[in-house]
Amino acid sequence: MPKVSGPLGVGHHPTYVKALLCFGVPLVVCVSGVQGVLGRVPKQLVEALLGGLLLSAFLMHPVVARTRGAAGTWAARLALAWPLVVMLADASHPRTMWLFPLHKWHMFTSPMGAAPDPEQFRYTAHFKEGGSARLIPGAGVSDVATSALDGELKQLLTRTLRVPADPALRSEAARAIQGIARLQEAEDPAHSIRSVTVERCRLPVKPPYVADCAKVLEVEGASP
Amino acid sequence: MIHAEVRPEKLAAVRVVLFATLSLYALAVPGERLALLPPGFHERASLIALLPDAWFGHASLLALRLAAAALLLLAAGGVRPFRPIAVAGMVLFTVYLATLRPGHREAGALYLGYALALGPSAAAWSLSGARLSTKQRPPELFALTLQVATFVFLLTYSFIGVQRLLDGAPTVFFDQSMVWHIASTSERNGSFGFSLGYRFLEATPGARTVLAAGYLVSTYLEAFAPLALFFRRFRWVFVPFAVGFHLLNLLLLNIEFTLNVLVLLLLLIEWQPPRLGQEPRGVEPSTRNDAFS
Repeated sequence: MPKVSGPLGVGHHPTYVKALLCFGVPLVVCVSGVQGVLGRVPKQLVEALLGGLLLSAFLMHPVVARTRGAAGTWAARLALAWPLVVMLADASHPRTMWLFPLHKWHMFTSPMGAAPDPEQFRYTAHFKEGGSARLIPGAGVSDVATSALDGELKQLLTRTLRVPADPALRSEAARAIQGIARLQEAEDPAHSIRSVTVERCRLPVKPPYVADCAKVLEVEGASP
Repeated sequence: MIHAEVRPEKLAAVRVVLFATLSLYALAVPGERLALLPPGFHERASLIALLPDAWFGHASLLALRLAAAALLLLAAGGVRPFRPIAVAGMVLFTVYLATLRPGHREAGALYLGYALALGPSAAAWSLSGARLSTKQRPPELFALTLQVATFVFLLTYSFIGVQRLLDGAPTVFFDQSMVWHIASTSERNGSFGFSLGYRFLEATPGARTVLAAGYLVSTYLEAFAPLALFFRRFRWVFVPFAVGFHLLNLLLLNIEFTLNVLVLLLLLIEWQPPRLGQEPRGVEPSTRNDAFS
């Protein structure tokens, strides 16, 4: 870590390093759970403060200070505003995707130790020509589309199975699965899908790790 | 600090690689097939979610992705007028991604794409010829473009780590949350079909301890990611960590971050492209060494 000599001959850190220390030290002590003392202080505020420290460190770094000073054009000012925009978008915790590609950055954040075992749905396509294969929603499009469609279908099926007597929900789920089957037929036109079986699987998080699956739905045909 | 000095060729090389990759992405991902889904089932991101389904038919989605691919290819070549072409290509590509409803997997590449589209990345290696590349530009603007792009890219890692520490620490590291995520995510219907995460739990004694320790370490490395911009030694740790982290995410969690790995290598590995053709005027970098690099 760089040090420069201070007025009393005692080494001290440049300002940007101090800002980085102010950012890093609280995060290190977070592992003790001390952030609980913040109580009702909005997390957004804390995140904005920490982001502000990072932004200050960046702007105060001698190299960035030199470049931003010398490149005083509108493009430079726009560029320097960009980290602030990204940071504020994250700290504001938007609940919608309307700001995409700006959004809240979070992943595997909540403690899940006390949560029930996770569940997933598995789909099997049965072909008119005979045989069957696992059906991955949107596999021929992209992994991003697969993630989205798998999540959306999971939500719809969970809702449907919670109220199994609701014909409207069952019909909506059937139409969605038929749509997924059509996507698969577009990817692999040689195989026509006769029906799709849906299984719900519980995935134990303690040994033995064996999925417990049960058939919950069968949907006929893929073609509209 | 990385990118203390940036030659026009370096920025141009980043432009060529990134825009060509995004163009290939648009060519390879047949998002128009989503028109086969029943109306109202597939949610879209961004303000385009307000548009009626009729706007997202097969032909319009196909036209959207092909137009995005063509413009990004022109932007990769630095064709003039560069900025309108590159910005239009990025906007169409963003709208196209929004129809697929992505999370944050492509966001790092999008942020870099916009930085390149708005910055002076076509000052070198432009198919429009050196004649048009002679405009005087402050040499610092080349460095600033990559400095800001790298900082924003690293912020995206940091936000995730910071939020996990503030919201979940220490419980999230010691209550086997990672085992829950591995079980849930590795068994989802990923397009790669890996279920190695669940098999790893089954086959490896001590897997739970390894996962808990790895979760803690990776969270801190994510939270401190911006240090990679400032300190070379941290960068030496962070880059191999991040590449391995994304590889393990793919194998154990079925989550693919290919574009992030590309951006990571483009922005955090210290490399220099060859000098080709005429040096653009007014952009000769100084040879001054940075004491803090």
